[in-house]
Amino acid sequence: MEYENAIEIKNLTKRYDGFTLDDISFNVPKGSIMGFIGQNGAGKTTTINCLLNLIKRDGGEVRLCGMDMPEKEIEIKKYISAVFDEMPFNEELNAVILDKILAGVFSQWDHKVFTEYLDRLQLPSKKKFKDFSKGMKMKLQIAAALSHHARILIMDEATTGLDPVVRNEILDIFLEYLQDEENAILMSSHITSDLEKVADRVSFIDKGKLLLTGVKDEILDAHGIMRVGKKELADIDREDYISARVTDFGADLMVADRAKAARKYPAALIDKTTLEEIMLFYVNRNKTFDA
Amino acid sequence: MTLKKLIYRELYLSKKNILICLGIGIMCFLFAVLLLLSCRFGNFAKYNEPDKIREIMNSVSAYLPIMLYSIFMVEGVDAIPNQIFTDRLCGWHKFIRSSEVKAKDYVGAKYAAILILFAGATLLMFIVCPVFFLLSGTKEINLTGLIAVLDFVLFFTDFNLPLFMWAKTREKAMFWSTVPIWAFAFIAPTAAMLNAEKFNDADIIEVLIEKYSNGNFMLAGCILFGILAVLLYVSYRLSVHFVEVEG
Repeated sequence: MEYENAIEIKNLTKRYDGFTLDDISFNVPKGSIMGFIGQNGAGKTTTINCLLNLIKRDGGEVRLCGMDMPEKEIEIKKYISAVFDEMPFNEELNAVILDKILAGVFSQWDHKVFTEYLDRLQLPSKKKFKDFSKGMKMKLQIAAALSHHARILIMDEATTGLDPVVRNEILDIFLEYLQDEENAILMSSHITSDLEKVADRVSFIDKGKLLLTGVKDEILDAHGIMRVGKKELADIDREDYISARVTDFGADLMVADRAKAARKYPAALIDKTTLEEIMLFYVNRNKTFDA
Repeated sequence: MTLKKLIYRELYLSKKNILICLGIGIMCFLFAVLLLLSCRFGNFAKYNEPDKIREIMNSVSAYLPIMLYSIFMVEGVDAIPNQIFTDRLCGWHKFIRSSEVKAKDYVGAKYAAILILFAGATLLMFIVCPVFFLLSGTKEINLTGLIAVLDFVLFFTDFNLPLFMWAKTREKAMFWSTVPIWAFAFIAPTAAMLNAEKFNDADIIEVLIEKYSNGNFMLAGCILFGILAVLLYVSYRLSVHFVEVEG
């Protein structure tokens, strides 16, 4: 299969009563991890559900592995693995039984790979899932997701609620998975520190609108926190910053173009920022908020 | 291959329910045996009308193996909406829809598993009933009970169809699915009473030869199973639609 972008989303729209996923467009190139960030209810899961054709979209185009969804849905789904925040396997099952069941679910299921992952992740094969911890359940999902030679891994809040040790273990597996440059990952999360560690690209969604998308390092390089005193705040042009956070000593302003801001306000101190801060300031865009 | 593995999952997850049904069936069987022993050797003989009591007890005990069958039926028909709701709650529904499995295979596996259970329960009934008749020495056969069970299944299947369409929560579906069980508690004895005279005191072999060779009876049976098959198919199609549209 010849294609450049593992995932292509163009003008994706989905309307609900009280919420609209509005004209979302982004690409996930092969061999990369796209971090899909946004607060709860921003539209991450709706986007993923549209991507997987779990819900019918109202407009736009979705292409996975170069094929149109839903036209080639069954073909596409051979190359996709989805990992959700909750383990989807019945708690009365164990890994041995699951292995047999998933061999019927995925045409390219690899028993050997699954067994290797179980050993590597120290998951007991005969213990019922109801006796698994949250971390073990997530590791089991990852093991299942990576055992049928999928080309795209789609994760919906999969690392939420896990302790840092398990999260690191899982992130390492993802990086290993991307050693094959034909693979790609779309990872939705509101834990931005994970994405900062592994993501190559980032898309930021809020209230159904895509606010930012691009290469993570470029986004982090471009943005900055300009720290000013309370008196100086009035002198800053409103269009030069996204939003302002007022502290006891002054105000922190998120600027989208650090170099331009440095030229315009040479006296101001402009620090580097993080994805978490970018998310916070964009969510509170067009307003001043307290620290 | 896909269907086979999915049926395996459904049967594996039904294991506990099957064992419970078998446990209840064995208890019913033992209870029936105890009743018969009491009729023959116990204190019933000392009462004023021992024959009448024996007759009642024989009727009750002859009805019990059919209860086993009806438990499987109830469990089976009730299982499909329950399984779909359970799958929705645990996320299997979403997982399977994100995989290459088609909705018709996913739902089809559930129906196939139920049909396998029905076949198993029917086979069990045809084994248990004659054994029980041999042990008890009774010459009665409670075909009315069987007909009542089939009527009930028809009614129940029909009733369960709207559950797929509007019961958004499992709790709501569970609540409404208990209504036919209560209805059955009235329908079955009523049906049995209405038909009792036709079959009581008839020789088992005579009943089988006469009734099964009777064209009307066979025609009625065929129509009954035909309606059941159509309803099951409609139920299956609605389930597939539900899985595809409701997600």
